Amino acid sequence: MIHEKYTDLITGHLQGTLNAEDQQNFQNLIDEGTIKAQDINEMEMLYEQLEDIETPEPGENMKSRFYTMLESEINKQQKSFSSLLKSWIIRLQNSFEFRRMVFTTAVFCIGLLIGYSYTSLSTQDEQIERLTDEVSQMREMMMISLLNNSSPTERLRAVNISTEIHSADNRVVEALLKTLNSDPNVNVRIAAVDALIRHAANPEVRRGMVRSITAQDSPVVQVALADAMLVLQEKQSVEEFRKLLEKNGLDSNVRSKLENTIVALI
Amino acid sequence: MDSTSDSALMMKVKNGDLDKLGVLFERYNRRLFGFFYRLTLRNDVSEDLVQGVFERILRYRKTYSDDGDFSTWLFSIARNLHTDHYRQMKKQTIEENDAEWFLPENEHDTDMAPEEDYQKILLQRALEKLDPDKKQALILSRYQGFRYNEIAEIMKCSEGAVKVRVFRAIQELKEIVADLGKQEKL
Repeated sequence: MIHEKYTDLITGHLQGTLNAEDQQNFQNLIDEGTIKAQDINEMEMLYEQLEDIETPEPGENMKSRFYTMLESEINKQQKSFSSLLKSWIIRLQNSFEFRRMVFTTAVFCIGLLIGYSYTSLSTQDEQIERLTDEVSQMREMMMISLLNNSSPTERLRAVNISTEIHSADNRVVEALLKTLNSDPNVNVRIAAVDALIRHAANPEVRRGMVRSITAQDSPVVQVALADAMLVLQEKQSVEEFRKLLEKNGLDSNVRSKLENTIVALI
Repeated sequence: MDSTSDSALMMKVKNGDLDKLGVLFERYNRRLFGFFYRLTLRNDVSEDLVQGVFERILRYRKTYSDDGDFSTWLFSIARNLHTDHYRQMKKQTIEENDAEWFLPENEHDTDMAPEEDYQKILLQRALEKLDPDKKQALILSRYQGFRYNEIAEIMKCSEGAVKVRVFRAIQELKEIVADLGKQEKL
């Protein structure tokens, strides 16, 4: 049993966030036998095994319930908004102050327009643009380095970082597609599908996702890709889904999902 | 701010553009379902809780501010919802085998289960025995990819408290798995 005073070191070790000094300190404690290597191994093994517990897919009913609720909320809002707007316009039209307010607003807007046209903002714009580019590049580097991490948590984090990159270049796209095709962890691959959808304006992303369909062996990822193709209305995926359907041993739920997807796409 | 970022979309929802909640739902429903499923091991309950999260978002959308991370805000709602659900369930009598999975009961069945699956079942059952705070901390850290400081924000406690919960959760899991294994062999 490991003593609780080493909590910071153990939890940091499990999440891979120890700095060099703490890492050394941790290693020393193991080397001198204060923390038993076997206890650490068992703990790591259990932490890894947690990854194996699978989660089923939510039912279609969940989505339809959500959208029904959202639609009813929007209808409620529209009703209350239109009645509010109507009464406000009537009140305004009856107001003696209305014309004066319009005139004042017009003068104010013209003043703003003149002021703005005399102020050069181009230097500031350039600086902001440069800074934005630098931040994007840093995120890109961080993401690509984290994707090579052995911890699935870190790789999941990397995929999430990719969603914060506004205009993903080919390096990001290639890294995400590589993750989708070869990451051993199902959750990371699903996160990669979600991340790629955000960059779907890039034709390379669409092509890569379509090509990946037949390469997937996990039913959960196959379903996620089918959902993605529906969202993107990617008709070119139909052929790949057909190839997948020809495979033996395909999960029956996946088979039915793919058949429905093909029908929806054609 | 990127107009398609989670935070930007949520600000639009806050300002009355409710359609944008659909995009956030598409981005997060699976993650939330996974979070709840690992806590409850029930499909139907997890689906209800995901629905509950988005109902609360709509109800409390005016309280959202974009100075923090959206996913942290979202999961703090999810965590509170699960805590409320857990309290309600505690008041009722819960059958031990309420969950949709089960551990093979007789020796014959246990022998039939491959070792890997058997370990998985034991671990799943052990996870169920953890108290909700430890289980939430462990699941947020292990499956949802949150850092300890983010979990602290979600759980409204200190980062140190989160680490202690995760540490104790793993220690307890180890012991419970060992105990369950022994019981099964008897």
